[in-house]
Amino acid sequence: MEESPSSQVLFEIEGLILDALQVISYKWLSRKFSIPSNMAKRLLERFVSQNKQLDLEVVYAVSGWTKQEPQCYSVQLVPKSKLEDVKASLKENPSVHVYSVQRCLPKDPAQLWSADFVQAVELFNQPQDVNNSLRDNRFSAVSCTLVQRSLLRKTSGSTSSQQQIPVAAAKPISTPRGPVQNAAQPSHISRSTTADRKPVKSEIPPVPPISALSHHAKDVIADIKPVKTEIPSVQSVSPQHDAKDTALGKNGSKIVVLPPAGKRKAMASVPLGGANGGSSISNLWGKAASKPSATSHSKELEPPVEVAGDAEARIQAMEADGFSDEDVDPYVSTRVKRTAGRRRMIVEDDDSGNEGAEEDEEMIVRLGTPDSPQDVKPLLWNGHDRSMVPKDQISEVNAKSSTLEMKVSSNLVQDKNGLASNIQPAMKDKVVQKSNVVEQDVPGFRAGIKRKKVMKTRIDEKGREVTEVVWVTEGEDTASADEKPPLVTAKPSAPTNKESDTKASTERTRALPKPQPAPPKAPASKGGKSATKATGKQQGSIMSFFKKQ
Amino acid sequence: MEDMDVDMLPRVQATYVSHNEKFELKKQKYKGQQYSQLYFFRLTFTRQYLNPRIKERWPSYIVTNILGLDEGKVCVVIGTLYKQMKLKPNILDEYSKERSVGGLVVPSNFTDAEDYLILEDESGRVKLVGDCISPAVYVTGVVVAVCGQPGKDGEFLVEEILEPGLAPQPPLPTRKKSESEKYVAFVSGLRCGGPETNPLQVQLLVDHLTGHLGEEQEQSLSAQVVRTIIAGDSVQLQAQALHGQPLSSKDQHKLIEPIKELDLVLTQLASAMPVDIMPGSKDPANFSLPQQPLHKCLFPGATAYSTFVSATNPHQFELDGVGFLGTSGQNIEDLDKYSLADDPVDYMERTLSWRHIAPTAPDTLGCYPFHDRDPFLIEPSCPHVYFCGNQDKFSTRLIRGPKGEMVRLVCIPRFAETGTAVLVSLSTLECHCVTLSTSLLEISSIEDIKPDIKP
Repeated sequence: MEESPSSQVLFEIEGLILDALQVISYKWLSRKFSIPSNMAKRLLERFVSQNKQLDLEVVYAVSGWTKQEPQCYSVQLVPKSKLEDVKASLKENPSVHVYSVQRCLPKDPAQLWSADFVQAVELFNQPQDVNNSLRDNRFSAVSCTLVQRSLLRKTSGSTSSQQQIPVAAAKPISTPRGPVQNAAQPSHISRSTTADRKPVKSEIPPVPPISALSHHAKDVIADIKPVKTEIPSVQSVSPQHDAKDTALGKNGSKIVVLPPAGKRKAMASVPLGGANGGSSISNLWGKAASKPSATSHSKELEPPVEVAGDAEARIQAMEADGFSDEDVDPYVSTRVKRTAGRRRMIVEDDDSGNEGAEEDEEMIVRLGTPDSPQDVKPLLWNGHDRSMVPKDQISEVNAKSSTLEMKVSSNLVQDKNGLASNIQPAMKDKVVQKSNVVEQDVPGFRAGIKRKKVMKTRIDEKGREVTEVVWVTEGEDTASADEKPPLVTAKPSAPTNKESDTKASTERTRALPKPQPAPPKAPASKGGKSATKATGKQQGSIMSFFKKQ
Repeated sequence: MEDMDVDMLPRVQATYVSHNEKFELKKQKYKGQQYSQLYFFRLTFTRQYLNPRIKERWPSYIVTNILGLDEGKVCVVIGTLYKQMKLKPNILDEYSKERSVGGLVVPSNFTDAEDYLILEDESGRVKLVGDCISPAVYVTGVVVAVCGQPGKDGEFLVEEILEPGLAPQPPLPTRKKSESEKYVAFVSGLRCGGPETNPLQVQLLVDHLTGHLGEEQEQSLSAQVVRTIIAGDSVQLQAQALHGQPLSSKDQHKLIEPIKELDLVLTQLASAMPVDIMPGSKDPANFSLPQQPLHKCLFPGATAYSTFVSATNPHQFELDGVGFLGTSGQNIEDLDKYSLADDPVDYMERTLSWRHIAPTAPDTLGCYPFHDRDPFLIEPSCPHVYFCGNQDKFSTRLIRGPKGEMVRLVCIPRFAETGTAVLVSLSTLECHCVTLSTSLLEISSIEDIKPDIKP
């Protein structure tokens, strides 16, 4: 009677070997049916003895001390045909057990390994907070009490919320394995207690292995941790999301539900942001300037000397704080273009590892987090409760932010200065001075807070190195600056710059107030994309401008 | 079904203390330091060890510096050896006009019969001559005391040479009867992801150590392993993917795959027992010694475990009071290029006696320009187990010092080539191999028996 579950397993094994031509190793069996590996060995042995007529190939693991000196403990995988030879070469009482059963011996022994490996990788790639048989070695015959697993996020800029992760994450890990395993596999002798064992033994008949049989590999997870019902849904989420899960994983399984919602948002807002970003830029610059297109400038600036003159005029105008729209425009267009170029480079980097997308999601998920009822975030995200900000606003601000790479613009001034200096060296000093002013004006905007651009390198959960250009406010804690997504810090300065530059433009001033109530969190790449879009047309004209020099 | 009921064997534990501080480079600075300070510290410290030994051995002779040598007067000089080698590669040779004159084949050993030793101290240098000193044994950077008399032409006729000898050693802790035997497992050269690496072999090792493989008797053996030390060259990166250009995502994948595989191995090990991983010459770590720990971001899976330690190379630690010191093999490999010995264990024994694990650093072995210490000196005490990774074959020796010191020398073979790991007993320092083999599964070996394999 107690044979029923194991015989069912045996039946299943037979099917896998004969029909699916699979290599069944004891380890694979142990993980698949959540049984200790020693039990899996016995099962395989029984299977072999019961199915002698099937002409199966059996690989044995033979281990023992060698006879020749120096003594050496030898572990060998041996086909059935050589079993006796190998046994004879070892000292008395070698340990022999079935390692794997298959239809035919593979040409490359490594094939015995690949099925195990695929299974192990599957377990390995499960979200970090899931405790599976790979991670706690629960099916081994040797236990080690020293082993402790803690989920530490390794991102450099650890924020208050992130620091709490380990504490909270300890929970899912420390959840007793006993009940879990009992549910999944009553016949499994869990580590929990020896007292458990007797009832377990009597329970052996129960079904679990069979239920496990009916499922496929993915459901192994469910078998292992039936408690966490959400897990399968997590699995169905895209790989980026897994990383996301781990990022959010402080509440363990609870938060696991979040990502999909977050993703939906991300999906919804990304295209939105892109479109809006583009339009907002054209709104900003296109409407503000009476002659938005750079082609007009190229006409204007045709003679090289005039370029210099133009620059000077512009500077003077800026100094006077009352320059016209036309004067600003070259700045705008060049700035946008450069920025776009920059961003595009970074985006490319990001794309190679889906980084950009991931960050997008991460931030949007954060925006969305307050929606979740069980969320602890409000505490952690003090003051970042931006879910209330209308999406279009966010994206608009984004778009602006992308255009506001101060350094770039000032560099441009210097570039021009270089050009101009060929013609009118006398101009140089002034231009440089001016460019400096431009650079400093912006940081100085907020009550004398200095901002500077810093390259930050951090390691994300997937082990990739991410380099970001971040605006850091001097005097502020760098950690706190780090906590915010890079562009968040950059954004406030964006409108600022324009404000100082262009008080004349009513359009712009109208646009300005928006970011201030809600300095938004929004993905870096989004802004970049929109910026690129907006400048698509203008790029050519700028090139022509330089050509004409 | 009753026999399926198996007790979990508890793994034996040992207290672990790391002594890697001296190998850790907290603040690396390259502000024009020269290596002179490293040599200076080496000479100064080794002189302290040598002085008492000189007083013991040659109580009547005076100890002087090279500048103070008097012709015809027997005296003792302490200094750093420099080995003048004819075949030693010189970077300047690449720029010589007669480039074609040199042989195209680069020898793997640069020793030559014409090599000779020069002794240097702060005051000067002198050429050492005499039959009792064999240039083939010594290398540049070793500090010794020589006894002899200066001859003409600025030569020094050596009568006897004195090495610092074994460092003092605390007695080996004795095992209580009630305690179980404890072993430390050493493995090196796993080369995960390499084209010639057999992943099944690595998996067998993991299964053996973690207590999956074998019947109970085998599992009780693996339960006695308190710690696994992975001594370098754990991954084989596809170096051809690196060509100085930005990598395509495909190449990045190729590059990262072996590390992921290693992470999986380490995760399995760390979930079952304490594991130390040291960087090796082929690992993604810094080149120069001391190699800093492999960055934990390389192993997102294994890092989560308290049992996972990413260590420096060299690695020094203590387990239940038993001292361990070892490298991933670079120091011995370099000695093998610039001196001669029958067995790598000989090199190891020499370095113990020189009290310096890497005397050829910084001459021919990459090394950080330390300006405040020489971390490679064997101090303050001599280890009980001295290991060296990535050797061609397993070899071991137990050396006993004059004062009852006992040191187990272990050459750990490359696992990928030999399938061998080494276990060292903490109580007796006995040492044996564990070999894992899948070679009998090779088709060639079973063809004769079963030529017709059904699909």
